Amino acid sequence: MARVATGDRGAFDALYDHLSPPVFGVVLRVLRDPDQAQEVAQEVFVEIWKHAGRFDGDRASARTWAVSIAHRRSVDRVRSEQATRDRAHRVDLHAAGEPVPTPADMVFQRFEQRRAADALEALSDAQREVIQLAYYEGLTHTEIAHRLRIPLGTVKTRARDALAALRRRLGSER
Amino acid sequence: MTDDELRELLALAALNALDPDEQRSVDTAIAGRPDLRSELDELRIAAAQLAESEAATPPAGLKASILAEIAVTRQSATGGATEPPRSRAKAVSMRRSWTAGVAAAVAVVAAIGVAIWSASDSSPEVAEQIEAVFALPDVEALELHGDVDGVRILHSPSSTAAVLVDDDMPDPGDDRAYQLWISRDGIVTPANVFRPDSDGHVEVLLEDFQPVGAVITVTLEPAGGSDQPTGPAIASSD
Repeated sequence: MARVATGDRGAFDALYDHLSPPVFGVVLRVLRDPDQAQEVAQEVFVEIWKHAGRFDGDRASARTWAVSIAHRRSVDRVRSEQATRDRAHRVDLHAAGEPVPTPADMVFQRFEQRRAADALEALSDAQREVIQLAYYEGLTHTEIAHRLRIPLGTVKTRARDALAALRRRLGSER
Repeated sequence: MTDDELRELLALAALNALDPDEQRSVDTAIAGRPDLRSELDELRIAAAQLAESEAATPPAGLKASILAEIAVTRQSATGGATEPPRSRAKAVSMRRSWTAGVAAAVAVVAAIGVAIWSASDSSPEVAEQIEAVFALPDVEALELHGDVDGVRILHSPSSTAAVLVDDDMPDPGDDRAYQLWISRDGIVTPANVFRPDSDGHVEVLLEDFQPVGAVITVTLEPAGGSDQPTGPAIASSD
């Protein structure tokens, strides 16, 4: 990331290979539309490029930072309901070649994916439901309370407990 | 907002599940609170695991498209501070003094491009710069006092960008707006002209904010702003 901040495009290329599966995955999960997901994923990576100098490795990993940006942008897009599907891409996406992830990236990705799936399994059904509506559907806590017909305070409690559980899992692996 | 109320909202903030107003309140409240910010960071790390379970291979061509765009995209400076364009200074005489220590004949220098902002019409670029200020590790809050409560300027010694915020500012009326003034060594400089949104929220990006040795004042002015203060001071750092 430090090299990316100095304008090193080769470093950015490698960073893309490493971060694109979770970034594209979360954007696609929230937006559910592959065309919009590509647009937003592109915005996310351009933002990472522009603001690499602001990245603070003491606060979070580059992966967490990238994923947080991706999630925030996706949720913003869902909420603004601007389905700007007709916006022309700057480069024809289908004309270019396949990205080639390195074997190390793929192994790492499978490991991360399994770990995350395990973590979700560890949540109670009630916690998982709130997490799914909040994180994956992009609903606000007020909307979740309406949808599930539960008090706002309950949504807060479940969200807090769920994240605490995910955090404990992380902590136990460190 | 109390600490307990804030902490309650942090998990929802990490999930991006707050309503915009609440999100803004959290952003403002945790600026300058390293303890709460690091708690939010931890929660975001936990939330980021949720993205991993959804990891997907991006479509062919996305990478090339991104690389093509970054090849023509300039990177921002560290810390997010940008040099504002400075217009030519002009001196005009001031009609009356409105803070102690400012004599009637001091010069008023128009140094900062005057723009009218309201919380609702910030561009994404401005919103990003505002977020960057909130995220600065050493951000401090400068409180202004007067008839209008709650006006704060979040600033940091490591950046010239700052943000003026208020959660509940009265509507100045259609033909009036608020204006910020910086006075230093007898020189009064007009700065941003702004209006709260319909909920009374204000978030104004100040691009070249240097508070050392300055008195910061907000006045009520005609809608387009003034070259020199004409209305009453409604909040001041003095």
